Amino acid sequence: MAPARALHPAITDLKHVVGDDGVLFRPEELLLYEYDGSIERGAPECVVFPRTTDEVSHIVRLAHRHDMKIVPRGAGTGLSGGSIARNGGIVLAFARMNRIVELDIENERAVVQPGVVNLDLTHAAEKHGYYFAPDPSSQKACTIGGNVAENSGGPHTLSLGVTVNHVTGMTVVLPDQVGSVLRLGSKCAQTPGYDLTGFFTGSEGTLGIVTEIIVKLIRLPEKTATLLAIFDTIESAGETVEAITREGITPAALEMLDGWMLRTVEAATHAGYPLDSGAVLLIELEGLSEAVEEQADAVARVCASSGAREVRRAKDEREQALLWAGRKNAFGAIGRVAPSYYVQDGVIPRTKIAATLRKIEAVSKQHELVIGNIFHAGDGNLHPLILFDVRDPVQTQHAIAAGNEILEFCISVGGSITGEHGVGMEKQDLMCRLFSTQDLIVMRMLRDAFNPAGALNPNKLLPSTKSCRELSGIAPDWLARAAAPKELA
Amino acid sequence: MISHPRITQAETLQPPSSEAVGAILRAANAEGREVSTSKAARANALRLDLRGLKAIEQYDPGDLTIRVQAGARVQDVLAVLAQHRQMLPWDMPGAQENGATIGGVLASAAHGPMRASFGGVREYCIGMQFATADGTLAQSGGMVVKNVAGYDLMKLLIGSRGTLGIITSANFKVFPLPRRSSTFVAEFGSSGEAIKFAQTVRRSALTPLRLELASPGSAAHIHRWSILTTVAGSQTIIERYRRELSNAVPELLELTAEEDAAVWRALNDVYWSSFISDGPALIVDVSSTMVSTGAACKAIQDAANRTKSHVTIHGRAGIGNLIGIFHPDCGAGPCEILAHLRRTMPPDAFVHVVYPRTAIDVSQNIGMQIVKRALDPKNILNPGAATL
Repeated sequence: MAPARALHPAITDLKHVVGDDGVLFRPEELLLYEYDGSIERGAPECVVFPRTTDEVSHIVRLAHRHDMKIVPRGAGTGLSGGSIARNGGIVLAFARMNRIVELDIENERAVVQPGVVNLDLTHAAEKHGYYFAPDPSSQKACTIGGNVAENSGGPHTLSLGVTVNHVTGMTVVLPDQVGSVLRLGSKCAQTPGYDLTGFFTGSEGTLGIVTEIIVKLIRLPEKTATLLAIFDTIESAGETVEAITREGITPAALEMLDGWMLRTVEAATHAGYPLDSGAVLLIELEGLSEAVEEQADAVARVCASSGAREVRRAKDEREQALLWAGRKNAFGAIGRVAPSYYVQDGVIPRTKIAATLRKIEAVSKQHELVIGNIFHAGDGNLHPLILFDVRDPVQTQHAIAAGNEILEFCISVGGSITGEHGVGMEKQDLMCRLFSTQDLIVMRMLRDAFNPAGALNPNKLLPSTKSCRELSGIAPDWLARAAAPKELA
Repeated sequence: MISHPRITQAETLQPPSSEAVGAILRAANAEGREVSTSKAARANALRLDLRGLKAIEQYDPGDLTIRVQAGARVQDVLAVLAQHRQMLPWDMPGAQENGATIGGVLASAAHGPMRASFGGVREYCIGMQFATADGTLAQSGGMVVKNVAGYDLMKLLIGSRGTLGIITSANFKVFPLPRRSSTFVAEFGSSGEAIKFAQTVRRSALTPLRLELASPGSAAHIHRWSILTTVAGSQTIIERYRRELSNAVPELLELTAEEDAAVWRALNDVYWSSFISDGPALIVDVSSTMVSTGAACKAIQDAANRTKSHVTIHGRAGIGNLIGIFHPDCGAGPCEILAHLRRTMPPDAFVHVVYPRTAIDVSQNIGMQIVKRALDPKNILNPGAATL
């Protein structure tokens, strides 16, 4: 029998704050909290489930006393390692802070705790004719606290904006010695003073712990039309996206799946995607009935003149839901065909879509790896899925190189390394390629001002090494670790 | 190579580049010298006039993105965008005719009637280059419309009135210029009825470009409390608006193109001309919840009545944003009017004093203090504009 592990002295103190059932500390209990939606991992010393802002503040004070790090966590669906306790410490899980505090329909606002599941808020608001606009693919599980931390997007943020455009206020516990509670913003569209609500949104849990959020609710559209434009080649699909943007049409969503991807998705979800096509665009239009009809006609015209062989329109809500089921469950479908995938989140200017797709195809051939393309084409946010076998070190190294080449290309055409997944652990060293040393110094200065001891979500978002020059050519270190034999044990 | 300028006396400098802005700030910071981009800079402050930084650095009509230097005039940028049938929703007072600059719009988070549909400048500013107090030149965001890499420093700088850094250029997501638009005027007997109508429209399926409240006499064609609704789209879509708005009110006036342009110009002029004439007694920008907008408007009216002031009120009634312009033709001073306003304003409304210039109150919020100390530890940046 293995000897009992010595109990961390903080456990007893933490139990006094949140109760005996609010702290997990046995190794077998912690296993589930080592992961998020990426393949990063890191074991915390304990997981604590607070119920109130006061309890969070108390936990922060205890963490200081016991010199422990804190990592906030929603549902653990993140794709960049943002909620992984890479330096141990306390995982602060918000599963018990999952209450919709107020649904204020008259003011088009909701006040929610961070553990509220994204789709649950929409379900609560729908009966009043409203919804919460950010809709990540994980919206059935991901939490609004996590959405705020990562400034999450989703297909329908093309016309309505990402999470930061939908948050007007929040309560934050700072990682200082006393766990100061800060109230930012309000239900009003604008609150006087510096816009700390906007600054904290997307800060990936490195500045403070968000314990309550005020979000906008958006009126449900009068009409929705979902179109599926079918192309023989991915180039013509890419050019169509550029043409739609050029025409000044802003669909609610404009998604692209390449031929390989749509066949893989179709096999898993039977969404009705045409198996013999080179690419499809999934286009959703929302708004006044008259505007939707006019836009649907305009989109169909642009698609036809850009080489679409067919444009189908979903006849009813069931068909719309089916088309979206294919898109939203795409990552899951990959599990049927490959042991591992590396999903990128690069962003490019929309006029560079066709060129970027050509580059991805060349990278795929060069490294002899299948790369599936599924992405938010309307805002140039790519999600190339690089398939590889993590047990094969050579293939893993090729996946690393392929991913880097794609992101390098995104940067070279004026893009970014992440559109919605966040930097987290996965891309922190790539920040040096996107930002200058001066840019990073200013960001670090602000991070250190709020989080001086690195007590909160340490070693995330900003590069881990002091000099960016050392990082030239470096790969994301999780892939290197993933390839190491000990990781496969 | 840029040498550090020696600063020996109060003066206005016109830096020709962002590097020069950085060099000036480095030198000023070393000497603890105040720096301001405001025309109302304190007597001993070094004033930066950024009108030399007026280039459009990058414009990609196909991507609907633009990067412009901070000293570029709003009207010039709008003219360039219009050549490609694109726009930014910059219809705030002074923006189109009075030489307002991009940096000014950002630093003051200025907004106009189109905020009702596009939101404030924070919603479509996608990148920014700026200098911190110690002269470090940094950037945040980028030239793509979706980007979560790094901290969103644009949010901090927008509306900070030059107290956290000097903005040297900024990147924006731009929008298609509507091919056709029309403005309808609906009149009401009271502000409450007008605001109720605006919020009914807001809660309907209609999505107008503007939904603006205007008090009686604030412009030609505005004889009573009015809601001006600008709509864009095809004839069919505009007809739908015409039908629905007509059904909701006894009488609906549709402005001609000339009247449309004139009425928006006149509403802006009420605000702008009060600056260049005798100076208003007081201008307030009130943010409230939607439900409290009627009470906030009544509070402005009551403050005018009690101080025997003449006030013009307009604003984005659908989203809880009102502007109150108290004219100088009364005995009451701004403090007296403000005292009345604050007494009667609903608790979930904020009164921001636009004129006379008042400082951002940093003292009540530790988060704001942390940011200010990090970016400007010596408090040299426009110190009169923030109360520490």
